[in-house]
Amino acid sequence: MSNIKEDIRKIFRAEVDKRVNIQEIKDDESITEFGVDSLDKSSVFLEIEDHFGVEIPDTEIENLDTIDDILKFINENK
Amino acid sequence: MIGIENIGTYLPERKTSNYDLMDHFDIDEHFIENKIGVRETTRKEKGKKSSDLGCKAIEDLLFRTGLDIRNIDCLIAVTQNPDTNIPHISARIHGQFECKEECACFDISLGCSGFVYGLSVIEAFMKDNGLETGILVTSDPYSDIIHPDDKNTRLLFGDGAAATLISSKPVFESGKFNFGTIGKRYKELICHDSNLSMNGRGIFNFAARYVPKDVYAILEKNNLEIGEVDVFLFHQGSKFIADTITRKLGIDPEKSQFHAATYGNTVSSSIPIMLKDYIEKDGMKNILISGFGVGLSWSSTILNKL
Repeated sequence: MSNIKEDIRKIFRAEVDKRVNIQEIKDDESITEFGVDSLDKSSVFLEIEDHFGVEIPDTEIENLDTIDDILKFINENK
Repeated sequence: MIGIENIGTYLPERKTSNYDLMDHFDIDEHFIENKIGVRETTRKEKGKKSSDLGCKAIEDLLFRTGLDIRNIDCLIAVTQNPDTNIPHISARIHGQFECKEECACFDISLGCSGFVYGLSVIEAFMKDNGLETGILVTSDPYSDIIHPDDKNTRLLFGDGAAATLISSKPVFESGKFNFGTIGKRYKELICHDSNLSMNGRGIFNFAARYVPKDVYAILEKNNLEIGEVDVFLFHQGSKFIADTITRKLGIDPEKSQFHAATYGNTVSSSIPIMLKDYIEKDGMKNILISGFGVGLSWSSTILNKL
């Protein structure tokens, strides 16, 4: 579980614009409110799909707004 | 040998500034400059059609080359926004310039991959039929099909056209080509009732997944290493897409710059508009061109500077 979360955080650190201090985001904090824009989200979700072998439908994107949300989705769909 | 001899282009002088749309779309300067990369989009005059823009690009080509267009052997146009469904715009352009009656004209319906596909088609067509001079027109002004409230398209697409002269006196010789289609995802970029709609995430995922793989494939097909390519001209979908492809391939950003900041994504004209700057530039041998988008479709090749 913690490895998955660390991998998610690694993806965020690699894909999100460097002007967003993403390493300081809490697991239950909104990534949108933290400043992650729609393009960076596309990049993050693409890497998550490829890394974890999951498919994230467009209809799910709005529901995946925290690291906890993403972790739960991966665990349920992996 | 048949190949690209010269390129004429047309970008309307009229422009819309994306800075003026920051409040409308709730975006900031950073988003404009570093994400979409498009500061201004070109806008044709109301009432002007694809053939009008294509004719303007040809006028630029004639100015650059002194070509007598009445004697060309073929004229092929790439567009998905023809002036009218019938006839093909290449016939309208043919009539406008009073080309000879023995000149072959037809259109190709493709979007952002259209220039590379069109290049392969016109070169093969000319070689097979012993033709000496042809023009490949790309003209797909999207401004008539963009809804003013659609953030996904209004900030990106600009109007423009290009006219590429193909002859037996080439500056660039084309290598082998790659083509591909994912027809089951055609809805990602589609026009219904004159309204363009684009699933930005879908197009991004397609470009980020497929284009880097296609680059490796086209390099292998042409027996080249990635380091032997001097310039990479990727379709200018957005800066974010171009930068993502560049990063995934580990290319020196100097070799893969974003060119469309002052005019936007001109669909099938994006590659020839960039390529025009390299016609007279020395010090390079291999240029990789890669078009991708509507369809979903992609195509690539290597241009060898002679």
